[in-house]
Amino acid sequence: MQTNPPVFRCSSLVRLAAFCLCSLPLTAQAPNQPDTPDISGVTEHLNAVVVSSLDGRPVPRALVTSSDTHMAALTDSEGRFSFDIRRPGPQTAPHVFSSWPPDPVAVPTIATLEFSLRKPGYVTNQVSVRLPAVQPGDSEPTLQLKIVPAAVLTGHLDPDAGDLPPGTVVQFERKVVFNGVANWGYSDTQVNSRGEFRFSNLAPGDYKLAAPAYIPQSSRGDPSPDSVHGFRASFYPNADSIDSAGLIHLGPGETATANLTYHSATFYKVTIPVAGLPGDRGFYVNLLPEVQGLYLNPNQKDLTASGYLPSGDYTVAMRSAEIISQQNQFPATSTASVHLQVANRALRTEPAAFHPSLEIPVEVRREFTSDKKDLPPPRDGQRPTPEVWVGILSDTRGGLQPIAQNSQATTTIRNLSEGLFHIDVNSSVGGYVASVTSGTTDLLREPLRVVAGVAPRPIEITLRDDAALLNARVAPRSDQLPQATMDHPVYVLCLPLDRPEAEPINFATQSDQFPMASLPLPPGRYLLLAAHRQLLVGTPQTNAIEYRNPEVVRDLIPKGATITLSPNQKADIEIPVMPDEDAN
Amino acid sequence: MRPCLALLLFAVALRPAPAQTSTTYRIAGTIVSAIDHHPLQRAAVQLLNPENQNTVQSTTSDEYGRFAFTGVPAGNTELQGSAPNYLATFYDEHDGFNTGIITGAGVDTESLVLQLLPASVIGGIIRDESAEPVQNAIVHLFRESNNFGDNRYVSAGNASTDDAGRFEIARLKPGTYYAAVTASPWYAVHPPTANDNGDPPPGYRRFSPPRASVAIVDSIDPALDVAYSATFYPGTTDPTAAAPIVLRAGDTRDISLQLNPQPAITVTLPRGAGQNNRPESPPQLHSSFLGLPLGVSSQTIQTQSHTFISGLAPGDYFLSTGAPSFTNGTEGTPIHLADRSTTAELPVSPTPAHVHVTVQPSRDTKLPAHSRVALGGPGVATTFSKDLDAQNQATFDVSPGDYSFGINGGGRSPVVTQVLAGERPLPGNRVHLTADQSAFFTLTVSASTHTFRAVVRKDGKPCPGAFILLLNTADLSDLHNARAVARQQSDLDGSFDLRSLAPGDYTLVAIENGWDIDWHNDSALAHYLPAATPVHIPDTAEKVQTLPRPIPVQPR
Repeated sequence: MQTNPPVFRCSSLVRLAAFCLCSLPLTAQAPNQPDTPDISGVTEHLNAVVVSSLDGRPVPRALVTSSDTHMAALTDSEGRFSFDIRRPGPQTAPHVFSSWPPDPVAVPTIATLEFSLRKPGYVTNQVSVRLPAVQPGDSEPTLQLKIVPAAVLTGHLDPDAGDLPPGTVVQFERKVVFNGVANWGYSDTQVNSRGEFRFSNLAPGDYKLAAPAYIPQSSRGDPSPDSVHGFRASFYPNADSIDSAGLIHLGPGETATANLTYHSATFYKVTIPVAGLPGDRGFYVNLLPEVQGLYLNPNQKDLTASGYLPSGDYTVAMRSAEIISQQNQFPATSTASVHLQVANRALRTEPAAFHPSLEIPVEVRREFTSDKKDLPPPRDGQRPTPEVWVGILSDTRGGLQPIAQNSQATTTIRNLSEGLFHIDVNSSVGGYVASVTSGTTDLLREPLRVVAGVAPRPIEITLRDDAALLNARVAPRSDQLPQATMDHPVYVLCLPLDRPEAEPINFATQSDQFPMASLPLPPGRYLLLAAHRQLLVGTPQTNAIEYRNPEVVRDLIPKGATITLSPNQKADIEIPVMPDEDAN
Repeated sequence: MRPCLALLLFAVALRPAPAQTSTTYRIAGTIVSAIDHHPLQRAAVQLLNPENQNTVQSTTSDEYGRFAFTGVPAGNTELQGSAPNYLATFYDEHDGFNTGIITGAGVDTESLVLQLLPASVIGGIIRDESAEPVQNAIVHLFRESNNFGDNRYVSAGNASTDDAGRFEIARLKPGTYYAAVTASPWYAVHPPTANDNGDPPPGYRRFSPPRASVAIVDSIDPALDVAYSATFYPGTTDPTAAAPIVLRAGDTRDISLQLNPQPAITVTLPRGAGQNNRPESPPQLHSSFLGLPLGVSSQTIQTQSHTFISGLAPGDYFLSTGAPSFTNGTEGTPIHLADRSTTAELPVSPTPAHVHVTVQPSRDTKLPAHSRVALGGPGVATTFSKDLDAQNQATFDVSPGDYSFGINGGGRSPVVTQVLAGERPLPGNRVHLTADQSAFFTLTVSASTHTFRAVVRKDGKPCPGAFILLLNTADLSDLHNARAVARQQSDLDGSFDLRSLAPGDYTLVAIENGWDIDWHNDSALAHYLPAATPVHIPDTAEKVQTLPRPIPVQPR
């Protein structure tokens, strides 16, 4: 049965819809199943062993707990533990949709259990194991659970003069990916009285190391002094910033040593009066470049932004704090921007004037071949829905975050200030987003650059309805066992290769016997990746796919399947499931 | 001269700099170790503005420990030094007070000896019953403090152990310390049980994945339901057997300890009812050490009808609703836990006293907008406060106990100058409230406080570094409960300021080297009272009261 989804939107909403589409059978397949299953089938005794992921050797005295909290045990001296399960006898069962509307069929079930593994010196992790058929009385371990030895990063922080201030901290930073963009998340620890630090229980991966700038408490006096002596931020190995800091690769069980030098410096008082701040709102201050430990504080009382900075060039971006409500997630803000040059003395700038942030109009053109699809008229008292929802995402240190969206009934984007922005477009009237441009900039292929004082060109969006239709399924395993099961689904990520700014599509399947999805896609070239873990999630992850990085995508191409689709084409594709090692 | 600790209830006595003149002065001397007096090379030395702690000048000592500042205007400044492995120390520092360097007053400021105390360190390794390191154990350190005049113990910091079980608490002053360790076995699992048979609590359901096609049979190893008792140096779980750790300046002490697990206990309590449309505060258990609360690690599960606190080691605890106070370790209902499954009743909250307060600002005082009246004070577990209404009145319930009144508002809050209990004036700002008492108070408050200025002399010469204590004269009839209105240390020329004083009658004691006097002890203080100096602060427009004659310092 051919899928005919109501709308295709190149957006996170599509990802969600696609995921829900494929997830519906999960709850629909067993309508009478209670929350707590009462499985009164055969009781089986299972033996298991916990081994190190590094060398496969058994790990004694590891704590194993089942995610349902029914089982907890320590492994013995040979890494073994055992437990009982109850499961139904030979069965057929879950019904899986192949398309929309659902087309139920039966597939064999292979059960999966979730465990948490914990032991000092190892990374606490969740493991998912598939239960094979076992013979009663089998004494050999039938399950193998891998636990990852933790890495340790040690070193010392040496001041170039004087003593380390009390409470000095060192930060390690680890790459996390959110919305396809890599950022660095940090954790810190205090150095001891000898300047030594130690980060333990680290998952294997790449790390950066920094000591944030130290500005002494005396800077908080009233009146505050014109200058204070502290320490500049330090980045391993003697780098200028966290961006240029070197990567420290930590393998499982490895201990690395990295030392930092704290360079003493004078920090000068910087005061920026602000003017034109609307109402009695507060305001936020962002200091660029972002340096750990350096910041300017907004002082709503005396309408200044102030703090202490070492000599150097800075940009200060300020934004009024508007009230965010359920009805207005992105209220219009005013912004101000100041470029600073701190040169060996306290600095009080000219007042920074707040101005309403820039607006950019949105123009939509439909090139539909079928009957025109109009939105239903709004109900009484409600505002009409715009033809498109246009979201603006900004690449911040916290990840790619939405900062603006056109409001109901308008096709104007507000809240734009100087910077680079990614555009996320959702159609409300069907079809797909064929093009998004601003002047000569193709916003499906490159971000929108907003320059201070220059009104951005309108965003022009073209919607079309001649989508291609792709039937995707996971490629079968060589041993004939199913790839995707009810307890062990396969997750697929569909990346538009020739439109890197467009959002990818994410969906899942619980069976590899039938197409997991039959979705309309804009014409173009796609890479489809499949794995036994979610490849696109709504929170920052260390192992999420950096799909906005062309180099990362290029390296992923051999691990998936690619296809080029033309308008109205119907095509089938089999996607190889990546081994867990590749997927992580 | 400067209270650098959080002695917020005491007035801060700082002396403003005299009128600026063109004459400048030199401050110089030697920075040395306070232990063997060897000079400290390349130590950081700085002058600080006592008003705001801003650095005025900074320098580094030479190879002989010498330092010098020139161009210092006449007035008052603070001298501080720091060096690796030494505590950052002010000139002649005691208990957070120090001797200010007075230039332009005819006293020698060029041969100062700035003594730094070597920092002490307490560290070690916390191991478990298998001699394996215990990570994330909390090592609590307590120090004897004379800041309150009664040699009580205060928290001296805590540290968490790393993956090797190591901890370190550095930059410690010499003194007497106690240490306690709290931790949970890393492998502990506390299945909530309502009885000794291991049955789950009523209404409690374990999570099961809704899509599971198999079920794991319940099998939680009971050997995992264990807990560590709080363990005290030198390795006892009996707090009365804890031993002091006497640290001298520069000491490094290893206090490694081993923790031994015990079968864990689950306490079952009925769910309480919330009040005033708020959910009830979940009951909490804490233990007590040296009169201070010691947190315990536990796991709390609540069902519709019960609260279950599991993962507790056997021992003595206090049960309270809500968080315990930071200062009173014995707040709550005592409970002894020995049985693996213990049923207890919720602690009964004491019947509150009902307080009605009217605030009368003095003639030159305007109350800040959104002012609040507060009942609190040293040793009080909870500070109660309430917004004043348009008539400057507030009514609220407080727990029975001894309190002082305060006014909180924006900017510099006014001080309470008089308390009327009904129509009766009280001798000081202290009230005793009993359960279910309904009490009416009228507070006179003044925003214009006074500064008292005087000079301490010994044998006709300035006496720097003297211990200055100001008491409410009305409190002298009950010395045991007397509280210091202010403490101070005389500066290099023997002078001192006491600020933020309300009009009234006070008694001032100046003692040479009196910093370790247990001044909260009746007999210790009574010895000095006959030679104390009466101080009267009149309710006049004159805001600075200068004692015309010097105060003779009393010997220790």
